[in-house]
Amino acid sequence: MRMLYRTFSSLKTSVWILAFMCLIFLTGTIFPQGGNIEDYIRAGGRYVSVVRALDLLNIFMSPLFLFTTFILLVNLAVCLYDRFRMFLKARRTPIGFERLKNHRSVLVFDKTDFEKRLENAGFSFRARSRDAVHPGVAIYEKGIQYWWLSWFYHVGIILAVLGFFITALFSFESDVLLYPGKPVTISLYSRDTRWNKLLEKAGIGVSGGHAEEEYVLTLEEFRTEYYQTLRIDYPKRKLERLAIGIGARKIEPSHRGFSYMPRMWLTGLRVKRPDGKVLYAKLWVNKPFRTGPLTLYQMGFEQNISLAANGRRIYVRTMYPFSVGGADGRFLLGRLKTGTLYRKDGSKETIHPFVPLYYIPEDSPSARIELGRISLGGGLNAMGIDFEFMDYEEGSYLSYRKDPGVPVVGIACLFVFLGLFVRCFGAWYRIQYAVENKTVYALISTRGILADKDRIVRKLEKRKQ
Amino acid sequence: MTAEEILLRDAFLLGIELRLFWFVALLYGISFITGIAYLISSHPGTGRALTRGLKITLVFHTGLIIFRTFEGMRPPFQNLYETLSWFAWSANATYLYARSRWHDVHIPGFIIAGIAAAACLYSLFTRNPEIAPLPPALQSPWYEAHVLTAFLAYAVFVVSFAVEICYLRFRTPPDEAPGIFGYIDEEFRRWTHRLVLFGFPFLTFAIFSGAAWANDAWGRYWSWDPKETWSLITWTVYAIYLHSKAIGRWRDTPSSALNIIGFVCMIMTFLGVNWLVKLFGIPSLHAYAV
Ligand code: HEM
Repeated sequence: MRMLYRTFSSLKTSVWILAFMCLIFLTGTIFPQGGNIEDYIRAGGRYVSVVRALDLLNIFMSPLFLFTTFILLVNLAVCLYDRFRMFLKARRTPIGFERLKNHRSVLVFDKTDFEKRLENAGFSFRARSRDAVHPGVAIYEKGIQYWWLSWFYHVGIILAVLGFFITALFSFESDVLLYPGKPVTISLYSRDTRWNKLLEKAGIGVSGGHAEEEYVLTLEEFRTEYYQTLRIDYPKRKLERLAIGIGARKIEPSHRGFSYMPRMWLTGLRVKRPDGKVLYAKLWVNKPFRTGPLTLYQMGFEQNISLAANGRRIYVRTMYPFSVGGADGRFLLGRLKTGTLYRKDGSKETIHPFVPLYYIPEDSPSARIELGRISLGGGLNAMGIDFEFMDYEEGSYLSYRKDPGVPVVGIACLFVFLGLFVRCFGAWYRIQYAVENKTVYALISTRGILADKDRIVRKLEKRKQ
Repeated sequence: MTAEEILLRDAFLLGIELRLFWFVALLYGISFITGIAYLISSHPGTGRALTRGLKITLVFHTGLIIFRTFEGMRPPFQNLYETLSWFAWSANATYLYARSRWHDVHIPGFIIAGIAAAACLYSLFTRNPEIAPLPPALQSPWYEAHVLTAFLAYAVFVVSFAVEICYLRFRTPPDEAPGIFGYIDEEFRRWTHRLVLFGFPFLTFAIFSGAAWANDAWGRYWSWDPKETWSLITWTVYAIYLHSKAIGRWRDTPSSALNIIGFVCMIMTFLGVNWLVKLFGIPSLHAYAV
């Protein structure tokens, strides 16, 4: 037991565990995480038995990883307990007088008012040794005790790992596609969280739906905005690029002119909470909407176009190929552009909705031959077909999530960051000194990047004059 | 000004920027060659010329960064074309600051010049310099904080790596007169630790801010995406390095090896992850940086 304690409270053990974790992380960057083994085999993946045995396609939930993390947690906990006891009990024992006096880095000061000068420089008395033969050595310190800061951010690391576990066990996420006027009910309860699956495996019944976790979402508004951006004809070949660099070639705007680049997608919706309260939510990319345990995120959008092809109505989703009766090959509608355009000259313009039409030849399914643009209410004759753009609808694609791990990880980050920052940058000083005759022999040690030993020495010297 | 006139103006400004960027790459190249000459001749004057070369390059490179900022009217670190330049600039600036604290040691500048020249050429040869406004995913208050702290950490780690290599190769034994490349002693080596200690909290903040940003943008603070995982590997390797400094027998060669491994991991996080993602066809949320 004592040996186990010694092993787990040792810094070397943590170094080895951390090194092993790095190897697991590395494996996780090579094997596609979340993939399934059949796809892996179909894609020609080798080492199938190893991949299966070690769960390499889901390595961050594999028993190997969970076990290693658990061992690290134990290591950290034992280490923190050990250090905590040590720090509480620790008595500062000053260095022996002879060693101090003969130390390579010993500094010499005048005795007059030295203690006062130390106190004026912000130092506090900590300990003093007594010796019958030699003068006693005193310890003075200044700054936050760095060992407590180290302790503090290591506690933060434990909290962060716990937060990760809470997320892994209890978080739930899904997505929803909303069209105007069609309310959708979502639930934050799922049988599929890892926790519920564990309960199920253990034979503990998991109940079905929970009405108190249901929200009704109704899309009220969906908006897109675009920038007008510069296109240039930048050469692909390296020598031509070099030619631009030495001024032998000019850079030209592209003959394709401006392009449309997404600026923002905004969703406005009504959210009816389980307690019956109705809220109006506005969200866009990077600006989620939070209420209670629910967070809604803007992920993207879907567009459906109503077309007439040679007079026959068809409904097409943009970016998905479609066929038209009687024509060879397939067609595709690019992204519908609608909403506001922010022009280069600073003005704004409402885009008259239009959509690019592409042709996909039968013999080269990856080719996209642009046939032209069709505007709302307008038409285009291409490949012998009359296309007309009749109408469209846009749906907002949102994801939603419940994650009780986030606040824990957030607090952990604060702990780690503050502790680490103050530990690494803050200044901590210790002076051990002894007085013999009229001379002070002092040894100064520091921690932290902002610790400036020379400044302290100057301060202590200045007051001498 | 009509939109077409703006387009022509932007193309003209981009042409000037590209010439300046090539000139900066050339200056880094010249500094690197000066470094090789210094290695061969070990003449102190050549060492000083190397540092002077890097200082002059820094002035032009600062001009380039400011120019690009005005062109795009936003901070210039949105894509790999811009971040490679930013990386070279910050490594050079950090090196020159650290160097100003050393007594007559110039040799690490050779490594810095080589890395900066390679980063600039990689950007110029393989990336498109088109200026695009911020896409929705990058419009976040976390964006600047995340990128700035990550690159500050990277710059500091590059310098720590250069110091480590020079120490391993040219160290002067204790109590001996300075070697041909100056005082490359234990005191000089302490800079490796000091620099990593400086960079580590910034790398930590970069990872935290990245997670906070992902929590707002993707709905999940951690996805085990290859870029995230590589940043965690880099962070863990530097944590091991810092621990090794507190373990008696690990303070020397093992800690040097860890510092070098940390540097390799950092490069993998910054660039390599994209190659691996392509090589193995792994889908990555960070693919917009490819
Ligand atoms: C995820 C795991 C860990 C991380 C990321 C981590 C991080 C760090 C960092 C960055 C430092 C260096 C800062 C400095 O020089 O003070 C440090 C120092 C230290 N760590 Fe850890 N650590 C981890 C686990 C552990 C464990 C398990 C132990 C216990 C055995 C431990 C004990 C120590 C000690 C004793 C120091 C030196 C304290 C000091 O000088 O302030 N660490 N740790």
